[in-house]
Amino acid sequence: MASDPMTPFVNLSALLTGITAAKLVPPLSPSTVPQQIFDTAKTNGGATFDQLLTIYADAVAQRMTDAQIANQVFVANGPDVRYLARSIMLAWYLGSWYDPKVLQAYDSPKPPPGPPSSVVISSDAYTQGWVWNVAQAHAMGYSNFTFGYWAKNPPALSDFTGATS
Amino acid sequence: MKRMRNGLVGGGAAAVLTLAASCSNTPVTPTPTPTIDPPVTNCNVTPPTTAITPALLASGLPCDATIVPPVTLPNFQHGFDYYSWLTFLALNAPASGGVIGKDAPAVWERWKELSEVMKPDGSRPAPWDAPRTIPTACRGVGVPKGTRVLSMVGKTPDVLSATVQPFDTGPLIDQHGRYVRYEILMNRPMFEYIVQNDLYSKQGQSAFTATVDFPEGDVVEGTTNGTIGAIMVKASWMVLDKSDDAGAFHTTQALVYTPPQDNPRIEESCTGATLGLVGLHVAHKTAGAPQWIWSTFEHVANVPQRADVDAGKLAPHYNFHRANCSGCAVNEPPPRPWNPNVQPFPNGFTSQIVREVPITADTDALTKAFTGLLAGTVWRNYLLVSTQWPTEPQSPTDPNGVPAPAFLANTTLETYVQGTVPQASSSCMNCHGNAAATTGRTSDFTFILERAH
Repeated sequence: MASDPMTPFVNLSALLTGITAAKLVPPLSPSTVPQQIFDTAKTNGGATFDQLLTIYADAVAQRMTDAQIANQVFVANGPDVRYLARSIMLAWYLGSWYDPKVLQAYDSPKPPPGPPSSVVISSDAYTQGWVWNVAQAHAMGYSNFTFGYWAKNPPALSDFTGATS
Repeated sequence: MKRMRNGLVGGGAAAVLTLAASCSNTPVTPTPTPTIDPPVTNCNVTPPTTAITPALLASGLPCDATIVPPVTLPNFQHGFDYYSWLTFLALNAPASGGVIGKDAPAVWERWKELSEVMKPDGSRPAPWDAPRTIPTACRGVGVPKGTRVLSMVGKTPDVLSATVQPFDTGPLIDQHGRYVRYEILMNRPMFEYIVQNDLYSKQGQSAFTATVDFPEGDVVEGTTNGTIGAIMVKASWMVLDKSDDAGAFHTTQALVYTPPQDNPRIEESCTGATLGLVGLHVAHKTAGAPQWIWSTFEHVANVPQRADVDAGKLAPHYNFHRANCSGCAVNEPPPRPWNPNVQPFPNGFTSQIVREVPITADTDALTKAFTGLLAGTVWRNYLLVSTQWPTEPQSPTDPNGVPAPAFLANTTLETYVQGTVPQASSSCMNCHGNAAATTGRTSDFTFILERAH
């Protein structure tokens, strides 16, 4: 594993979420949310977390395309890796941690009733969840926009995600 | 690079004509309109890698923060904190000239005070060099001519609208039971921008159709040429008496004015007093920080940090904390009613304040290094709490520029909103980003325009 696992984790997260790495973790960002998500995924993922990063590192070393990397993560290496990747995606978007085993239980012909349980990682993780940005909106009760923003169109989606398509 | 805004040209070329009295043959006299933000040739561009030596005492006012690589959060924070100290040295130099040292009226204390700009009748402010006006209630008080007036008893007075000021902060009561006093001042570029755009009145603000955009401090790359830009200062002062060590404070002789108020009824009053500086905000709009750079300083004896309290490492005396005060409610406003005419505060109340967010080791080290230059002066007794600056000043999705640190509070100015709770704890940019003029339009990170009549 690389000496700084945060960097490959963010790069993998960019691939999983469609948000550029520079937007997920801006160079001067004072936010601790990325570190919180990393710590949560590592703690809860255990050995599978290390396996996931190794799979990603090997794929990058082999110069795989994004689609090929996605195949390695979601198909070729089994359900533990697949559902951990999904939990990481949800953590970035929703600021909550969904246990991979819980998610896996919903991927069946007879899923459990009701929504899957989850734990809010932190108040910051919730307000900075990417679901708000992708919706070009903001969390309820929390907005960085200035007075009167509601009378204007929001910034373009690409301004939020850094993605051009 | 110097920029001209809203069609107001600079360089002394512009002039307005003063109308001669009607039915008079008096020639029309051209009165030059002051340039809002005139070019200067002495911007302090000292990089933060420069050794902290006495040479810095005379290095002058930065027009913008000078930041050098590497592009990391700690390094940039260090650069902005270094800028804050350079600014502190320059603004606290004697207004009469020379470098910082003696306890004399400082540069910023000769700036324009808010009540002289936003007048109750909405009339045009007196020119920059005009003497300060004295409230009628203060005219019989025997103090030297030119004595300043301190009237605010809270950073957020009643006239600030609840729709844009989310924090209802209460007064701060010192260990003698007296109210801390506040003032807001602005430098000349900020003052001229307000005056020349008629933003000192509701009527003028209604007629102003452009976006409020105060002048920026800026430096022409590779030179010391540039512009100063808008700077506003908020200061907090503690009334000193014989039991206080006045030699430990920057002091001022001031008229302590309490304006009349209804609900609750408060009588107008005025008295002369010696006050010690306990808090100082400096906000500077620059090209690199259009969300402004927010530096905040405090007197070293104000309060203990939370960790010191928890560890029982308390000093014998604080300005706003009493050791071994069992049962004292911490960081809570005094009980109502709040009447500055009733002092000391009833029932022996004094504020019991603790700093909730610790000062970082790097900022603390910078304070030690800079105050080392100020040994033997009152200025050695001030510390930098931190500097808030925009990490993404051009962010299209966060007009507040993603400030760092995310939260910043001065224990004398944001006493009751310390902490790290989003939208509730003090963050200079996130709060001031909501500031609006009386028209409801954004006012460029200052609540001053909301005070217009």
